[in-house]
Amino acid sequence: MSSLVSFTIIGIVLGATYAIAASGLVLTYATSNVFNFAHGAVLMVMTFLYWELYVHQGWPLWLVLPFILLFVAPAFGLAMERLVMRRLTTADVTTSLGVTVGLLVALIGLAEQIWKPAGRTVDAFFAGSKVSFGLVNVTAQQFITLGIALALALGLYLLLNRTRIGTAMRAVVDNRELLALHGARPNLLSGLAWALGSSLAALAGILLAPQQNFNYTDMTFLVVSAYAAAMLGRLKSLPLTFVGAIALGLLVEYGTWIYRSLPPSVISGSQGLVYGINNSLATLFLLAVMLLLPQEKLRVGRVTGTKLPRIPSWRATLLWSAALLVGAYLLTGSMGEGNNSRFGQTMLLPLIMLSLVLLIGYGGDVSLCQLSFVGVGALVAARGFDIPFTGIGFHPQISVLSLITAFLLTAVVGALVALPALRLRGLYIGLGTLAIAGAMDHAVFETKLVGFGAQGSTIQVSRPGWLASERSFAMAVVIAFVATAWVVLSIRRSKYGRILLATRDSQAACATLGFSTTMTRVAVFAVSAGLSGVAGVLFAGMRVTPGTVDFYFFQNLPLLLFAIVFGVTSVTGVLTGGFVYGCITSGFIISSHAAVTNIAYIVVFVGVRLLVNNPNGLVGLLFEQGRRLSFRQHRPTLPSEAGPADDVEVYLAHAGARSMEAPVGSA
Amino acid sequence: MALLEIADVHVRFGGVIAVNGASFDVEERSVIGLMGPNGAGKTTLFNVITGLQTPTQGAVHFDGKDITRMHPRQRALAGIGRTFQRLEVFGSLTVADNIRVAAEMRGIDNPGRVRDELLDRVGLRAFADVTADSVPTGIARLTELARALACDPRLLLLDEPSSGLSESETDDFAVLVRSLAEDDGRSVLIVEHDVELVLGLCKTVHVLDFGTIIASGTPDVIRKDKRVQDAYLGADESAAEAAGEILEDAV
Repeated sequence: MSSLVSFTIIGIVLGATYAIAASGLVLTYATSNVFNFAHGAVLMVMTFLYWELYVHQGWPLWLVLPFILLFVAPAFGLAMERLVMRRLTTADVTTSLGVTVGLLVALIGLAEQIWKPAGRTVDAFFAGSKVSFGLVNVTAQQFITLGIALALALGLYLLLNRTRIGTAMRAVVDNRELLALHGARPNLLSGLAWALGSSLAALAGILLAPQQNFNYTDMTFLVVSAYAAAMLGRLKSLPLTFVGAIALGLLVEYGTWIYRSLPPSVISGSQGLVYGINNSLATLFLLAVMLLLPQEKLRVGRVTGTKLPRIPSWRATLLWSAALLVGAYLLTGSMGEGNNSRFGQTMLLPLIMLSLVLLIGYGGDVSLCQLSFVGVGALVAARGFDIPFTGIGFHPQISVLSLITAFLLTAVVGALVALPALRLRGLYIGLGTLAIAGAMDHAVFETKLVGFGAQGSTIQVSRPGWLASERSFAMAVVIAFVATAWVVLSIRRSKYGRILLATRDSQAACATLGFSTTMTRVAVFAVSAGLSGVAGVLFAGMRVTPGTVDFYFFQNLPLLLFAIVFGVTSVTGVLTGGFVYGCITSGFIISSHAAVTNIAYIVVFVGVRLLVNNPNGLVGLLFEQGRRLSFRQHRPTLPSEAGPADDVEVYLAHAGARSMEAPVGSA
Repeated sequence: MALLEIADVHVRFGGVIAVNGASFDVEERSVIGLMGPNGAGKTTLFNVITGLQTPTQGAVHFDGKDITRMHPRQRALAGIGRTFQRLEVFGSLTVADNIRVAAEMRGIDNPGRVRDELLDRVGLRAFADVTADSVPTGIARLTELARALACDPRLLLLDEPSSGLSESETDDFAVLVRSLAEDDGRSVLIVEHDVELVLGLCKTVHVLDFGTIIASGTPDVIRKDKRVQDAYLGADESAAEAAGEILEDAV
């Protein structure tokens, strides 16, 4: 019984820290309409800084705390607002998702570069002192945490509801210009919100520091719990956020309590499943909250349409395909087995990213769990597949059979993942899919039952004889890329491609044309996941020893970023983006030193930040440049009945510019 | 029985009353106009009819069936089509594909032919291969019209279709709308700021002000209505007189 009481106290304290972090998230979202994915990364960096100054440099606590909480963190928040977030307030959700995810990845790269991996610990405040309440003891750290959370709840309530600044802060998000006309200074206000938000992240990090092992990604994603809490308040309501945070804290601790009181036979009998579920309670909570959110309403009057790169002609597609195949054949012929292996592994990334072209580039949805689908495909190859109780199934293999099975299985998984996506859009899908990726790490990949086994485990995969050499398998990967690219381009050219783009551009228009976008979105999720599954089988064969590390949920973030930066709307875009990212991860051409990865993370953030208004990415920019040049050479012939033909030409030339501002009209 | 029956529709947004007890019918094969100053509730009423907005009170019947709580998609399938005041073209598709995809979404036979016919009929041939987000506003509006027509609606709702059109294009547009009713047998409900166009085109016109229908009748009746003149240009005497003149001129 006493253990239940102490778990309750620990749960409430944990919830209190979640609440602190989550309220920072709500504050920035409410004033700028930007959901800061990087909130956790700020928490992580600030906690490392705390360790650096307090433990490593030996500053006194009374100096460290104000220095970080009142100076460094607010300054960092202001800088974020000024340099990055301000431009995102009116951007579409996918863009702001991309940029904040980019910031997250960059901060991880930065932290890893400054603070090399090592064992780090921080003592609790007044370590050892505690108050005894009969059965249980409450530590000083726990008291302080609770006190701060309560004071914060009260303070924020008063700030937002009882002060002029607070009212103005809440107004910023609705109409900056109008607020400015009323004499407020919107930039200052949102700056203030970001400064405060960043301080709150630092505060949560410092309070949690004593229980941390100072792992970059673990600490960053502590905030997944804060996301869940904030989501319960629909990113708007602070009281609900606090309730959600406490509930989640209790859920996590009661989970641990139940887990510890289970008989060992149950735990070992589940082959890691129970352990995995217990470890992903926070993400499951997030998913549950999102499933409970009310369905998003159809919205009209939003800016629609992104100019996509032109579809290449069949002839051009054929030529480029042939060039790629011949090029790869000659290249692999000139290299040794080691480099061929690295080349093949590099080419896996463009193959995986092709599925994103369909989903993000054409469909306008977002997935942060694409690599988990790849993992499912890899498992089919590595473990074989069987339908329980039927005796139908096959042994581990890389064959047409496993490719088809992987496609079907991941398509089904993808359709299931799309269930929350049916009701939500943009940001929530991003969060939801990331949560799914996190949950799959624990509940699938790290189990013995269906996955690779405990964290770090791998499974040896054997290739069929005719694909035994590194060269032949690398060629198989290249051929798979070409084949998948043809599938993707065929879809784009077909009526399904048009419907997909129409769905992305305006759901309201689709509805008033009598078309259900829901099925389209489920279908595109399923097909895109299926393609990832196919890539997964090849991944397993190319890698030979696929394992949990390969599909670690965090890897989804750089995958998405490289695709966005180079251009997720075209096959060429993902070929280049995937190739560059592939080189970094496999060590082909570029060395696979950790520093390279860290710097690449920072560079890709800069890229995504610069490309805010260019959804077609770097490659898209090049295409546009090329088209402009060819325009000069052959002037297009325009239909003579076009009325003023000059006008048409101007429209063609200013392809990027939007000429459809809505006129001021009636409500 | 009228094709569309709107009975005592109210829409409230918090304390704001956008539509306050509007009732009117749209007969088969008729062109009906909906006028009113900015903020009168015209677009809100459109949203109620197409299902993007649920009324706080009142009912909408289409073809004898109560559709008040029906999903926008089902209403479209029942035969209601619309265009948007704030454009909702499929910006990344060409003008031609905007039309074709609508036919494809509805599984209509030979979408290519539907596209070609409509490109000619609506007069979009010259812009067929231009992406819809780079055409001028007027053309984008016509694209939305053609797209709606691809689904062969029995009732077509046009939200400020003529804004962005030149004078000669507006004339062509009026001819087209008339033909939609007379030749195709569709009903058309138009929200329009162009007084001249509405009064010249419509059999019956309803004037909304602050969510209430303040006048209904033939263009002649509307033209002479004092309240309409006031609503359009405020209580200012001279302005009202000028408005009266404009309305008189618009014969």
